[in-house]
Amino acid sequence: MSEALERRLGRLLTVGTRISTAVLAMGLAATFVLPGSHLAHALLTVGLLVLLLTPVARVAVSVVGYLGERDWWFVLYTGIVLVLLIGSFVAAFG
Amino acid sequence: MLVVLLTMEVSPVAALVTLLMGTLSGSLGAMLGIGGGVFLVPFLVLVVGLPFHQAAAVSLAAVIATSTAVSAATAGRQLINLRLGMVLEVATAAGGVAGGLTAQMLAPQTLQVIFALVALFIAAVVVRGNETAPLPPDADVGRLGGRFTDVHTGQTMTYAVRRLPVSLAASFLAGNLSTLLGIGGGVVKVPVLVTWSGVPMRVAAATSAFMIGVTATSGAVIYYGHGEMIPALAAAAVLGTQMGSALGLRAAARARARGLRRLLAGVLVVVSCLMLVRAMA
Repeated sequence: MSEALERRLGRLLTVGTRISTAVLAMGLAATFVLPGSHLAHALLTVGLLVLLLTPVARVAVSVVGYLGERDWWFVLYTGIVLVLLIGSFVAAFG
Repeated sequence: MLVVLLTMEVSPVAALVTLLMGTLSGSLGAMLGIGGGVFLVPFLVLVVGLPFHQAAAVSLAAVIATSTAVSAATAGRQLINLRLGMVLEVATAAGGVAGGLTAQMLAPQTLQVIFALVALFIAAVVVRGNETAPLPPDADVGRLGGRFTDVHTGQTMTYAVRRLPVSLAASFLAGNLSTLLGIGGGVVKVPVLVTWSGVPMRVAAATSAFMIGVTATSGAVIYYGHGEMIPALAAAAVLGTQMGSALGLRAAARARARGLRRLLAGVLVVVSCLMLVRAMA
């Protein structure tokens, strides 16, 4: 189980890194080609959000994985981390 | 200094310099097996001229990207101790949130002094580097321990996790410093995991890197919410450190000299002095 979960998390992190890096690169390019444009702003915001949400998604997938295993202590640990992360999003943008 | 205005207007020069600083920090960090935030923050403060909170925010974005990329590459190679990581993450995430709340109350000067002291501590850690002896192969590893085979030596190491509360406390502190200072915090966790908890160096480093994405996210989000994240510079720092850590890993594979560790410890001491001077000015 643990190894399957680790591979799943690895794939998630790979996808998250690639998307955020690509979108941030386009956003940075747009900032200088079209300064002050909505496109540049939108690309940078989306890139940053994907970057920030990738670890959150990683924790959420872990919670679901341990739920499936009925490994209640690890559901608790990962659940606390997920609540802390969501809490900081709510505190920052709510 | 290339002062970046707080209106979030970023000049191409500032972005380019941030990209280069990110590349340099990322490669230095990868050569030492650390994230590189400890180099990026002083670069952003001293060279780009960012206020400390903004520098920490931009650095945290780069730290998340580095952690995510590194963990994506090491996942499935038995290097990350997933269960240990999930347990310690509770402490790093709580420390990160606590740091995010206190950072807003502390003056930039205070943060610069704390940064200087932590940089000196890191310099000492970088120079030393130590490892505990592995257990016999049939030993009971407990709920959190494990086995891993070092691909370089072909040796299988069996380890149990000892003194978990010490590692939990170090993880809380690491999370706290991560958000306050814009660094990953691996330099606080890894030596404690190795020295007090008996985790092999490579497992400690991989597990720490795995946790850092989550630790740095709580901090980065809080800075972002306070309007202290400058998106274009964060993008430049992320791209720079991604390129830099790829370069650094290649360089580290070729030469792993003791001299390099000493040199970089020296750089950290200089950085620490510069931060102190700036805080006093």
